[in-house]
Parts: sequence; structure tokens; C-alpha cells
Amino acid sequence: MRTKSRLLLGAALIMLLVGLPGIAGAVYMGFDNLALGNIDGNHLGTWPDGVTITSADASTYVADGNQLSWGWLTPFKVVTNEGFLVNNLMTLTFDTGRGYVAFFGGDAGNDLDHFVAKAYSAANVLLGTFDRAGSSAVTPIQLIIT
Amino acid sequence: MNDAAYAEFSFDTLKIKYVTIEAFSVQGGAGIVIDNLEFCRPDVVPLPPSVLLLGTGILGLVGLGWKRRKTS
Repeated sequence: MRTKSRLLLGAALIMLLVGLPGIAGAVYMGFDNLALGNIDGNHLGTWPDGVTITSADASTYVADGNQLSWGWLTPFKVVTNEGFLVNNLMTLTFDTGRGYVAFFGGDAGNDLDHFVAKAYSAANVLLGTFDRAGSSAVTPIQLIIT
Repeated sequence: MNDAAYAEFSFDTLKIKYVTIEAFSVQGGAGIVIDNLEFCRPDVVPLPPSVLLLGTGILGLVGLGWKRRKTS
């Protein structure tokens, strides 16, 4: 019984020791602490673990996720930009190079759209592409490129 | 909003400096929406929070077991 307890304790400590640095090194942004309004070009987070979000027409702004029917995914705020009539490229620029980037993404509207995300290095080398055409999925999917 | 996806990029050797996002609607263009952005340094492997949760749970069970044994 004592050996079993010690084994369990050891397993728990290993999980905590391994898990804690992973969480400490990861940056998560739910945008919920930001005020509603334009944030185009604003630096978010703390350097060197921050990000700057821009759009082609400088219209990047924080919006209420529920108003954009994103309540099923996130109950509070989201980052969006103006669209519908023109393609409006959004760019996320990180302070330093990242080995992992993940986010929920989509577009506003009630039609079947083509959603494309591309990852680049500092030398503008295309590292990978997430490309989903004509979808109306509500279940998040994962794409891992190695 | 009815289009949503979860995009995840992971590279061992090259580093991601920036990510571009585009949406093309049948109407000619669309506003992009993003949330729950997560990114890590190249030397950090993201672990599911469930691992940490499981570890905490096991720690609690062990503590409970010890307490019971001590009182009996």
C-alpha cells in the first residue's frame, strides 16, 4: 500500500514538474482584458513574448464575441477586422520567432468561405499553410505541420 | 459567423515570425475573426493542461490516502 502511494506521488510530481514549465513558456491570449475598439498595430503582451496584430486597412479591433455569434466558442471578446467587400489581410507579428502558434479563426458572415492562414519566418520563407475552402464547420479542427 | 477552424503550426527547426490570415467569401471578401491565440518559444513544447490537472488530482488522492491511514 505504501509502495503504491509512493508510486502515485512520484507520478504526480513528475507530471507537475514537466507540466509547469510548459505552461510558463506558453503565451495565451483570450483578448478578454482588452478594451473594445481599434488595436491595429498595438503591441499586445510583454516583450519578447508579445504580438502585434495589423490589418491591410488598419481596422483591427476588439469586438464582443457574442455579437459575432462566437458565443459557442468564446464567451467574451475576439479580435476582428472590417471585411465583406474587400479581402483584408490580417497579420500577427511575434516579437521573436515561435515554434508553435495556434488559434481559433474564421470569418464573419453566413456563407461558405475560404479561410487561409500562412506561417512565415523572419526571412519571409513560407513555413506552412492552413487552407480550408468552402467550409461551415463549427467543430474546431487541428492541423499540425512538422 | 459560421466558418471556424483551429490552425496549428509546429516546426522544429524554423521559427515563425509572422502569420497572415485571409478569408475569401463568395461575396468577395470577409472580415477575419480570431481568438484563443497561443504561441510558444521554439524550445517549449506545449503540454495539454489536462496533464497538470491529472498530476494535481493524483497528488490530492495520495494526500487523502495518507490522511485516512493516519486517522484510522
